Amino acid sequence: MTHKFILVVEDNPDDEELTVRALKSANVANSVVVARDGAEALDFLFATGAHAGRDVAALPAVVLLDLKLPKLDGIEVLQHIRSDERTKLLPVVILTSSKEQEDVVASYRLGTNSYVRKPVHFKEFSEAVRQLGLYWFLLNESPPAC
Amino acid sequence: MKSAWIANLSLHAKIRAIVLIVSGAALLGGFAALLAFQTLSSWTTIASRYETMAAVIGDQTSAALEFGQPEAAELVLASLRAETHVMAAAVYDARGTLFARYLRPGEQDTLKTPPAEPGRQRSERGELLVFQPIQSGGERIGTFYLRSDMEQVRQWVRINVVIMGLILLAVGALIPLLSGWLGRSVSAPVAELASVVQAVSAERDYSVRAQKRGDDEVGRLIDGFNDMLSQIQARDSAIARAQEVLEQRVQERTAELEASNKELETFSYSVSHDLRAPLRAMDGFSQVLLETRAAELDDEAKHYLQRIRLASQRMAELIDGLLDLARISRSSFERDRVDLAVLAAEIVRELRARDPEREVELAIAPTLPAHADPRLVRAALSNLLENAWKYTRRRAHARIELGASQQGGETVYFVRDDGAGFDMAYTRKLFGVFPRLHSEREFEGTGIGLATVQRIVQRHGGRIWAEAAVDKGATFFFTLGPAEKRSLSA
Repeated sequence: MTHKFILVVEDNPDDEELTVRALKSANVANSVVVARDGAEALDFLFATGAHAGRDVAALPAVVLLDLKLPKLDGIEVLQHIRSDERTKLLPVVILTSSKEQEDVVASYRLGTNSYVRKPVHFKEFSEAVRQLGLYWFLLNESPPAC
Repeated sequence: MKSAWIANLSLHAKIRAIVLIVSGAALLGGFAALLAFQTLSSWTTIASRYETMAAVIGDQTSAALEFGQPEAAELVLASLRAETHVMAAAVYDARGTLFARYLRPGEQDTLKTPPAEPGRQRSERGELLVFQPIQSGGERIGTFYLRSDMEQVRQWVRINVVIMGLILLAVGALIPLLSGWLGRSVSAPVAELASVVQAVSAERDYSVRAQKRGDDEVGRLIDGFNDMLSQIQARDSAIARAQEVLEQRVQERTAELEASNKELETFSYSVSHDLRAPLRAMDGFSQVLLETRAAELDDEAKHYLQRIRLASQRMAELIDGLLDLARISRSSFERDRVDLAVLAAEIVRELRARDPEREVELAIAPTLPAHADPRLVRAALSNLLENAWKYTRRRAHARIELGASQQGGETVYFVRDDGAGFDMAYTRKLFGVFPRLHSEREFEGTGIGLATVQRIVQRHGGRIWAEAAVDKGATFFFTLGPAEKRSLSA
């Protein structure tokens, strides 16, 4: 088992910083990888493009995936993750501002493990991220790598 | 019944019947007149012949009468034997005594005294009686009497009747053929027109045409009918064209609507996602400053940071309110039976849980049936009850009422409170987005709630209005469109 980490897919630098800060308070901050758009996230997961040469088998404990992203949006990233044998079982949590019904339905239909709406209130937001980090990073048992 | 039976006969049968009846009547009438005339003329001919005969015999017997020789007179009379129809003849002298006589074999003797003599001839019981005065030197010396049967006339009539009957039979056989043939020229075009009319009305095929045969009334009827068919066809195609154009227009409009709906969705999505992110940063980094730099910040700086945080949270509420309002306009709409009293009870439970210390008396009607979209009507009711809850906050013992009344055949629901109320001069602004009648300092709020309620009521085809006075409370009335009546009667 290699080094355990969380992949955060987030294009907004403010949200990125707040997310990382919240994860830091849960003591998982040192193991956070950030991808700033959907394409980069897939490049990282499948070791292509800028991430060529990375060990594909080293998957994150959980992907915190925003929906509104440049290039490929979160729904498309989720679709790619679920349609590839290597990442089919990878835990994915949608972490987004949207509470649109269709986003929630589409995300669950494509097999997200969870859907969390980012609260505007920072205390609530950092608490939500902290709990997500704790649960998925420390508590949850990852699926065996296939 | 009988007239209906006649009315249902085909035109062709009617024409044949008319020709048969009219020509039969004409023939019979003509024959009857002819027969009467023939009978009369044959009677007259025979009568005048017997008169001539009587005159001749009178002359021949005058000498015998003058000289008193009845044998000679009887000899003359015996010549009447050749006339088989003469039944009897006699000669009387001037005194009326029988002088000489002739009897057809088998006839009885009735000639002893002369019969009455009303004229030179007369008919009696189908027999002809002829009287002829016998004269000599200008003096009447006796009378000749002759009686004849009218078997000849009867024979005449018989022969005539037979001949006429035969003619009638021949003509009678010809008339149906003729009337059939001639009548068909009248009835056939009408029958053809009728079958075309039937075909048109049965198959809705306006492209068929009746064929014209002549320029008579039927011909003009067919022309008119064909003309009408052409007009219908032209109108049909015009309607079809117009419908096509309309359909196309509807499709275009639908596409435009879908596009603008899509745009609105994209817009709402962007608002929901993009406008919130900066707020999170404002709130988040203010909080981070308060947490990590608390020692370096004085109270004023901390206060301003708190103000930034509150403002960003309020903006988030406004965004959510606007999104809710937008969602109401484009969400699906389906009426169902709902009980507003049940919905209200649920909402009030939530309100009480939020403010357990408040004393609010709630008077909700036992049942308030409505035919409305359950999700939307719940949102509207929730807004109204929350408002009532909010604006009665300063009352130690507040009262909120929910009920309905029938006004002009429609159900009017109302939510009444005894809270802060408002000045009726500003009702115009009540249902707009953002304008508020109370300052944020007095009562918090986004100014979107009543706009949302109004939008929901409007989607139901209903109306909403309010009555209020400052510090006397407010009452909001609303209807839910015409369909609510059905659910009440059901």
